[in-house]
Amino acid sequence: MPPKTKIAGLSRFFLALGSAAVLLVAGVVTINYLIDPYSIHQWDSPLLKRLSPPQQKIVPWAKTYAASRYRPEVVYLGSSRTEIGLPTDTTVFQGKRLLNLAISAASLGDAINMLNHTSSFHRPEMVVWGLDYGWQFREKSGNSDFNQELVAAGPLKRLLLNLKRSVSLAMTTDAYAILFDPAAQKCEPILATFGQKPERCLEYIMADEGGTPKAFDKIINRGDLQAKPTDVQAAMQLLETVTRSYCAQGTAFRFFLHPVHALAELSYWETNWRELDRWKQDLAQMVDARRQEGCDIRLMDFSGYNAITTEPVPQVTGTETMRHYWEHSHYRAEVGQQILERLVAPTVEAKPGDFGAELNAQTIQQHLLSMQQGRDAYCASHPWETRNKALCKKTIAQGPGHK
Amino acid sequence: MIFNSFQFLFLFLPVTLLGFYLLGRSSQKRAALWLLLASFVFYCSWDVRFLPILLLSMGGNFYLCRRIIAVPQASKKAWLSAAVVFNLALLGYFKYINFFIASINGLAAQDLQLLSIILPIGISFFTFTQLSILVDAYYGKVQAIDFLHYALFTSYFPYIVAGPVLHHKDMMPQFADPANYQVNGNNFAVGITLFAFGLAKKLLLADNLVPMVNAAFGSDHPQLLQAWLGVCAYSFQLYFDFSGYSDMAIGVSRLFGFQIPFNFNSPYKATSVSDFWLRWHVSLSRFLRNYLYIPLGGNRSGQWARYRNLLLTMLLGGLWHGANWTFVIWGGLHGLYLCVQHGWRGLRGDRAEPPGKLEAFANRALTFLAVMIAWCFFRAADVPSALNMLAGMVGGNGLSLEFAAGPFGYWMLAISAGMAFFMPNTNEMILHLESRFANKPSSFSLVPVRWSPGLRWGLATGILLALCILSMDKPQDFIYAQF
Repeated sequence: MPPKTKIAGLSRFFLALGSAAVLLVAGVVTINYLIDPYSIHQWDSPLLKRLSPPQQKIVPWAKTYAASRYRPEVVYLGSSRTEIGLPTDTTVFQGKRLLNLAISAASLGDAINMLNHTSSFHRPEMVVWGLDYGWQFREKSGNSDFNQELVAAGPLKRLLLNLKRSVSLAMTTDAYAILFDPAAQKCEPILATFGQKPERCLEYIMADEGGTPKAFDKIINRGDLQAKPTDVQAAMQLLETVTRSYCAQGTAFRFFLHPVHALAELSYWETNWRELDRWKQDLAQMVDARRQEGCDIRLMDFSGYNAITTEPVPQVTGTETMRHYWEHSHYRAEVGQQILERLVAPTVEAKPGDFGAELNAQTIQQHLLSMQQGRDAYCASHPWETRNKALCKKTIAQGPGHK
Repeated sequence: MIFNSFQFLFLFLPVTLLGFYLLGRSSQKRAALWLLLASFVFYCSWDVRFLPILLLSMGGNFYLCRRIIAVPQASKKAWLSAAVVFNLALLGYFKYINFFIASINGLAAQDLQLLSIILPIGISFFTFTQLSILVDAYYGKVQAIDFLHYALFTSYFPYIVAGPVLHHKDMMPQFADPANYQVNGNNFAVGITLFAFGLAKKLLLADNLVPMVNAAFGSDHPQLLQAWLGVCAYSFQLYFDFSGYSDMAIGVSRLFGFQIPFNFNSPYKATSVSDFWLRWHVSLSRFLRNYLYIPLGGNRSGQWARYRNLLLTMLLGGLWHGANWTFVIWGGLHGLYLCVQHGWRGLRGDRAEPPGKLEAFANRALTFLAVMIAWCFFRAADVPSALNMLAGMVGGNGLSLEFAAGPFGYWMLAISAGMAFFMPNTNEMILHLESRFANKPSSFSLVPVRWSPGLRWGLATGILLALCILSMDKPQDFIYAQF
């Protein structure tokens, strides 16, 4: 429908519009792609050693790229607990290409996708897998940056994805900070430490978020209940399928349950600890079944009420930091080193002796009972820290050892 | 696939446009069919299970419309009743059944099982769009109906997700006009500019207000400043989100040569609540007035009947937005506002002179305040949350003036307020060259910006479009797409 007023200068309008849009977008994409602030296409380049902001973004992109280039023989899978806690600078896997492929807020499905992705380039000999119960035990992705298109994308598709990701002013802002803002350059990129979150970054992040005491304030005063998984059976079935498939090809598995702090354990599972126990039983059953099929597989539980997880909190000691923990659910790499030693070298004696229990058909019942007893004992010996925990109140009301 | 996604902008839209104009050179019918198929693809990109429901609605309504046109006058009413029942049944089942079950459970302390039902996107829009043609067919305003054009009218992709609510009188003649199937540079210039402006409203304004809104509405006890800033930010977020979508829909449609009705006319410059409804979601207001308020009797049966009809219309208008009591209360509040306004006018009597500047300012401020209060219910997850926010606004949760939104948040709020209160709207800026807008008075603006297709505006639009494309890395859904 032609307008009454004649519109003139259309060709100049389109030329100016097209040129401005194309030049601006192309300029930004070029800057982003060359500087690559999130290391989405860096592996063995000097850019990988350049200092970055502490909160590194779109880490899954970087890790999927690194997996394709580095082709690791040993991989770590799981969530931020694995990403932060399991050290890559370890003698346990000396001589092996090792990559920490855990990503923050990863679900079980994310970890499986990461495993399938890295295996499409080179099947790992061993997978060390930190399992999370709660909402993360599901197939659906938990990390919004873990674009499923990234998984095993061919070079051309990967290039297109990277280009698409580079069409972003937010990335340019970070590129500018890396180039010209010394204050933003805090710590090594995550790939420089083979996928483990660098400690220096964590120190900045913790300081920024108020430190360890503030994190424990929350867990002591309010609790932090974990949402139940929506379909445990489906997720367990998925894990069965994956382990069976990889075991058949000769991959070894080392599963473990994270040593979150005892107060976090009390807060997370205060309403559904029985479901947690059932989950552990199912896991032990699954691992036993694989072992009987000839798979090199183990499952250890480092959670509960042992010498590591019951470390006194800053509110009691008056210190600003803790020896084993960044905060209530994220432990330090020294703890991770002990986990690796216990998982990979079974003959290594636990230091301290009660840290980590092997789960299988023979041990599981006794272990679950010990957990309950440990909980009761912890409640009784830490009345101030556990005063808001429903499970502890119940213990006090009913006496220790309630079912 | 949403408008602010790479898939839409760099794949779906160019391919659909190319196919449309290539086919349009040889056959108007083929071009229309191509556009129809593209609309199905667009609709299926959300969930392929939605398509059978759209086809059922479209096919059923086409048949019913044909029957209403064909049968003798005496039988028309029965067919119209069947059509209304059919549409309300579809809408009721897919959108409202679980709401009713949950309400019964709540009121009668029952434990009836909720049904596992998918909610097809845009069902409210395509149902209302079709109801209008059925009613007009009953009144003899529709004499003939072509299936291809009807199908395109129902499923036309620019509108189907979040409107505007189309009217057959606007669209059918355009689908039948061969001139609209030929490339037209003017349409492209206007279409791209409208799309760029809409995209900028969504990505650069609305999405940047989200953190402030979420912080306030996500707080257990929003205190004074946080509550006010949160509700203010939501008022602007919703406006720029929805009017941005409408601008994009109008712009995209214009690229295909079809004009769909404008939907916003600076609503926050309204000087009364009735004025607000002439400016906010104009296509829905027109539908509610013509197909609900007037058939209910409008103001023809006295003052009390008018109040009843206003309240009923707004309550149902609220429920149209979503199956939740918050929307019902939001609609009810607006109905109440309209009753109070008409009651006040009745008491005061008609005035010969227009209000002075100060009075107009006070009217605008009061209207905005009333609208903001109602938005609390529109945004909140449930009624207690909305009441909690209102309590925060009157200091019921504490009088703290500390709220760390960050300088960027305050800047975004200030820019949004400036745009909404003091700038011309996109119709005034871009469409002023066109005959249908030539004689319309402009709304109050401090900066009389006027677009024209030349070098300067080409550059400005290009830069704006580039900034938007560079902000599309994490696209967020449109608020009205859920309705």
